[in-house]
Amino acid sequence: MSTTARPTDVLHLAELARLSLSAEEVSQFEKKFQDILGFIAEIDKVSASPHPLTTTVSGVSHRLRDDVARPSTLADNLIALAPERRDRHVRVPAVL
Amino acid sequence: MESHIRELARQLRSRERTAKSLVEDAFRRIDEREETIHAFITLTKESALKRAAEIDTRFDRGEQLPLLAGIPYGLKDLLCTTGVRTTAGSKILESFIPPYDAHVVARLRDQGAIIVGKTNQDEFAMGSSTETSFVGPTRNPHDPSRVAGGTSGGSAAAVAADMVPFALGTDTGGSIRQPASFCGVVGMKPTYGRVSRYGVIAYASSFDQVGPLARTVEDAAIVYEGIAGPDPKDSTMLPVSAPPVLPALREGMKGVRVGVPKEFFGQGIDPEVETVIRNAIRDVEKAGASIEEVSLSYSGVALPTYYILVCAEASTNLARYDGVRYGRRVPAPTIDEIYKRSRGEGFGTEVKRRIMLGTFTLSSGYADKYYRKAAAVRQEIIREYADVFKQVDVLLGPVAPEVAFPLGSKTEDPLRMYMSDILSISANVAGVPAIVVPSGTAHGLPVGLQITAAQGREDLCFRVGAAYEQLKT
Repeated sequence: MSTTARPTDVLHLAELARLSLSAEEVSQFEKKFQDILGFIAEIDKVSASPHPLTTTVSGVSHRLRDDVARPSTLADNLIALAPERRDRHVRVPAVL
Repeated sequence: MESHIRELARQLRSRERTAKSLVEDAFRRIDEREETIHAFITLTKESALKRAAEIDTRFDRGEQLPLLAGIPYGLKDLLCTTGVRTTAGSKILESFIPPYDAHVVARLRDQGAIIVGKTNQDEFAMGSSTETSFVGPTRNPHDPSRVAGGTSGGSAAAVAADMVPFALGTDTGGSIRQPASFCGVVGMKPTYGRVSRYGVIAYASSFDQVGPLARTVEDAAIVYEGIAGPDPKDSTMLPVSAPPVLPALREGMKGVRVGVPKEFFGQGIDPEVETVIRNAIRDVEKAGASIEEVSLSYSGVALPTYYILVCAEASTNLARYDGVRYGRRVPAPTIDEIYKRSRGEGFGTEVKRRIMLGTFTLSSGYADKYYRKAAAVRQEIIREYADVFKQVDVLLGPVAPEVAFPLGSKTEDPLRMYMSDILSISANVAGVPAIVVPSGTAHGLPVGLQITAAQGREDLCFRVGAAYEQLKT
């Protein structure tokens, strides 16, 4: 990955997002991307201070429950969903 | 207008009808029209009949059962159902069978409602037409050459085609309300935090909400009450019980203060659609409401604000589809290639586009300019809506600038497709409830009237919706 890749370079974004794209898809995305960037840049038209950053919509935040372990029957069901398994492990190619 | 659910409930209790016959009827209507309309991704006839038999046994024993017992319904394929394939309209989840139920699914099951199938939708709830589903589009029952709207197009079409008395959809930027308008049915999005998102496959976590689609306002209200209210498994929920809304259905229009945002009529709206809505507003005034023009000055930037935030949230939410623990895995020699190929082959074009857009707006050097700025503008929009609701009780306007458009007419131009959402997204940005009620036709196709209220005021949506529905009957 080139360190001089433009941030809006479709191949660079696809790399960051872990998406493989066909050559046709790259060309299709490149065509539309500049238009879409122009469209979202319209938020420059208004002022709003981004600090402090808050993303709460309804005023609800930081709802916590007590840190108490409870039995769950889901674990085996969840592992059963893995495309490749060995015993109770999810199997993938070597990471290192 | 008569509640279909209440009438069916009456027939079930008098034993004029059995739950089995209601389910069989649903499947008969599905058989008649499904090949054209394509409202469903997966049908669950066997389990529906089994459930119906259980409900019938209990009715036969004279048991008192909840109002929704024995009532068939369609469920958007974005909601997890134990043992039933749940795809979110995507190839990457084509064979995914959840080991648990969404909270609202468990609630409706406890009340005896019966799922007949998982309805079609745009992939991962991204779209405005139900054309990006991996199984192909849903067609509008009023004109099969046109879209049903999206992303809850399957749910809206199933209700409009009389396959089921109600369906559940989700709404992130209008995905219940716009298909309701296009298909001529009632669709309602609750306040953000009113209905649990546990088990709802996430698109944009601070926007997504589950809501009902039905033929009448009362039916939508009955279903809403059946699914709303706190769930400890969703920590973004409002921490209070959902107040009942059924009593509000009889409160009428008199004394309601209506605001009409002037910005809603400038946005490239089809003149015939505008006429239908203006007539609706006149009717509402004649029925005793007061009407005043209001201004929502941030309307011009609501759409880019929305797209920046939902794509950012989606890029994070969809990172989990990596081929490792569930869903489609494309075999590859390295873990990195597994991620890229599974996602590359499993996701459709629009999903990839939005993930990349979100990746961009969150990336180093751009997050301040785009994501943080949009989050700040959103707070201004929330404030502006709260302020306008000090002056008026509800806002009235169109939910879409157009009627159902022809299949394929916008799929080549993503920006044109995004513009479909221009009148619906603000309610999601502001977290406020809104209902769409059939209001007439333009170019021979349905047009819905959108009624928006302040956060927590679903009662006003249902009150004005029901009062307006009465005028049209």
